[in-house]
Amino acid sequence: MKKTITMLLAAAVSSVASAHHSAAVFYKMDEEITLTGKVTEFRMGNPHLRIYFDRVNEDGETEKWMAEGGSRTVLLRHNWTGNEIKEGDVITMTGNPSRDEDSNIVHVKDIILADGREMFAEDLNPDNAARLLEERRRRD
Amino acid sequence: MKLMKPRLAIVVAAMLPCLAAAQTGFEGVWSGAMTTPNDEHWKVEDITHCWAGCPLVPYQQLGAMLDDPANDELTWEELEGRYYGSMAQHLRSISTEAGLEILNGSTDANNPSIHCHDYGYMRQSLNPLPMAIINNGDHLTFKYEEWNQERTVYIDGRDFPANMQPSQFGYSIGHMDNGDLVIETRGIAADIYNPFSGGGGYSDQVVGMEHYSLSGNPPVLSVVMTLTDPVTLKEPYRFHKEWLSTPDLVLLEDSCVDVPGEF
Repeated sequence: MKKTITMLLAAAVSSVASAHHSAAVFYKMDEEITLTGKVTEFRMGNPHLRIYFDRVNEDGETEKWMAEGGSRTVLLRHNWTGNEIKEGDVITMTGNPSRDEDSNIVHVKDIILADGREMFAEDLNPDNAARLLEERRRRD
Repeated sequence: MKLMKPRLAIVVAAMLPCLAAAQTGFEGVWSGAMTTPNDEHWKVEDITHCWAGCPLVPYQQLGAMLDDPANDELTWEELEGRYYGSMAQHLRSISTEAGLEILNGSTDANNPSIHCHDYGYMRQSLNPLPMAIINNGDHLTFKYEEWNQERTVYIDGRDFPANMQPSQFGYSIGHMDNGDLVIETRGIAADIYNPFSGGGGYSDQVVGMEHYSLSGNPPVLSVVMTLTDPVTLKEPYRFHKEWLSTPDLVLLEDSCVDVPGEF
């Protein structure tokens, strides 16, 4: 039950988060994918954190992808510095795929960096929203 | 005419800035739900749908739905669907034909915020990142972390200038009303609402009234922003947002990177 609520609230938190500056992409918040790729470009600025990367698919072909995360200053307060990722790094990202199945875009939440560190890459944590909803419904 | 003694004159001169900068109570650094998500003040609807301000009527409706045990069986997706439905219905019900035209034309393609075009009056006033309110005596400066922008609110009793040309944040005049800060803004350039507020936008005939109030200890800053616009709105459109006092927080440098067209 908690997982379901978390997932649904992830949709709420992240759909608005993606609209903080940009409603250009929309994601399937009820689906989660994990991708590993080699970074070609990393930007930690408005509208959001963006990672451009090459991923080798199941057919051995190299695909161009983009991962979008949280806002710059929010991430700086979450201990990001902007130096975590550089071109050529191989990183693993977990997040939600684009609703447009022709777009290689992922709404990234968790990243395993090249040095093995795990970073939360979004503005707001859906687990927090799930907890608040449960508390609200308990009416303590 | 009796001249003031030099020493007294120096003391009085030194006091003048303090006298001029009478505190309003609203000075300080304020942070919304996005920056302080773990604070016990926030409700679920604040951190999911109102961290950058939200239309007041649908926000209140969502709160009422959450308070009603009859809705406990609804999934969040169903509640959210009703919220988005009520938000769209509300804006449509108060929009003129011109307002509906802007609303229907709101697309990702014409969203200026993905191209490093900074926010207009409404979006900037309710933006999700922290802000500082600084008292300069005759005016307040609202310093926003978002886009590193500043806005001036005159509090010296002046009137609006004649022949104002529309500008990004317009011309703001504030006054105190029973401890609340009331700001009227005119001469605002046309802009869009936050896309997640349902889209749409206002004309350069819009007038903004912001009613800021303080409550609690540590203090919570609340605003109700009321927009009236004879071109796009048949009735006033109200927004709500809250901030917490975060005196130790330092505003950070924001920066923008244009989104390339490939994605």
